[in-house]
Amino acid sequence: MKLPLMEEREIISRCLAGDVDIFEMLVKKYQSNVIAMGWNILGDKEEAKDVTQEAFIQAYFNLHRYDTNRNFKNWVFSIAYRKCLDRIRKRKSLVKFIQKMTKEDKFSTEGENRKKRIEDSEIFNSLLFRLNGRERAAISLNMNEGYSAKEIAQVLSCKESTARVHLFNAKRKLKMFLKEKKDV
Amino acid sequence: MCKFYAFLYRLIPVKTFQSFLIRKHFSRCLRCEREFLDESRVQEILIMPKSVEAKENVWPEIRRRIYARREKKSELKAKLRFIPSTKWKWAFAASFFLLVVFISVTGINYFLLEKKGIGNISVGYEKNVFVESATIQGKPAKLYFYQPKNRKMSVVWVGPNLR
Repeated sequence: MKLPLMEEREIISRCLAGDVDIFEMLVKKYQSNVIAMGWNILGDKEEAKDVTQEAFIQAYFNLHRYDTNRNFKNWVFSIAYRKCLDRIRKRKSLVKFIQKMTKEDKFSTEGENRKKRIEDSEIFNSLLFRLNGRERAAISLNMNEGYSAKEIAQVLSCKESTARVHLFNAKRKLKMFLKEKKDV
Repeated sequence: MCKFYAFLYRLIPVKTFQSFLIRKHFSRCLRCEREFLDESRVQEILIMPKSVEAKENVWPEIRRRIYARREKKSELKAKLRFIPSTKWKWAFAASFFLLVVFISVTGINYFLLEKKGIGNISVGYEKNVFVESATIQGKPAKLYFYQPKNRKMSVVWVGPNLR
């Protein structure tokens, strides 16, 4: 489904007028891109789908703030990216909490089970997860969407130079890990 | 990868400098580029949009949640209908603020006067002083006594009795 920029604006203005169902066109157009980015950052498909839903809902309710000169896809990406970072932060605190609990030997069976579940998930096994969230987002946007450093910077809300460094570091680290893997 | 530039990159971990090196060297140098990561290998690791199954449609859930939130919002709006408009809210807040300022200023003033020890003003009677009679132009006058705090003195003044 291809939507020209004018049509996108038209859809947005109809959404603003109260037509919810027309928003489906935008969701259907970009959902797989947003899910893929979320999946790359979070390493979990279900979480990526949740983030995608939340991002589109937030976008819908904030359409009145959306600058029509800006790319809608970029805007949704930046919302989803922030939500992914929130999830990573929450996940880190959950892991810390479980570690603390297992150390203190409280709820040890349940805590250890949860810890094991997290460690066994594809997040920890994937090579991609040797990179930090920003680097994962940068490489995902660059490889999947063909985004330049400037566009990545818009999504990540950082300077272009910083985006360039994230992208470079991501590629460098991946190269290193792939080499390690090959050697093993 | 050129060892010198790789060393510089690791030596100075300042993002602007690293970005400068990337722009000026790594993205231009053929040697570095050749040694750099093969993009097709990265794509093997990454989840691509086309690998997200077509049946993964998030729209029904988004639609349900949008309608639920809108309904909740309209319910809340109906509940808040009796609360005055923003203009009145501001007026109420401003008058409340002024009242608080007035009460605190008066309170502080009273407290300071008490502390300074200005003393008591009594009308017509003071226990240490006795005035037999006071008249103004032949008419009985009113007496005012002022006893400053911590001072052995009394101030008496006379005014016309208006009653």
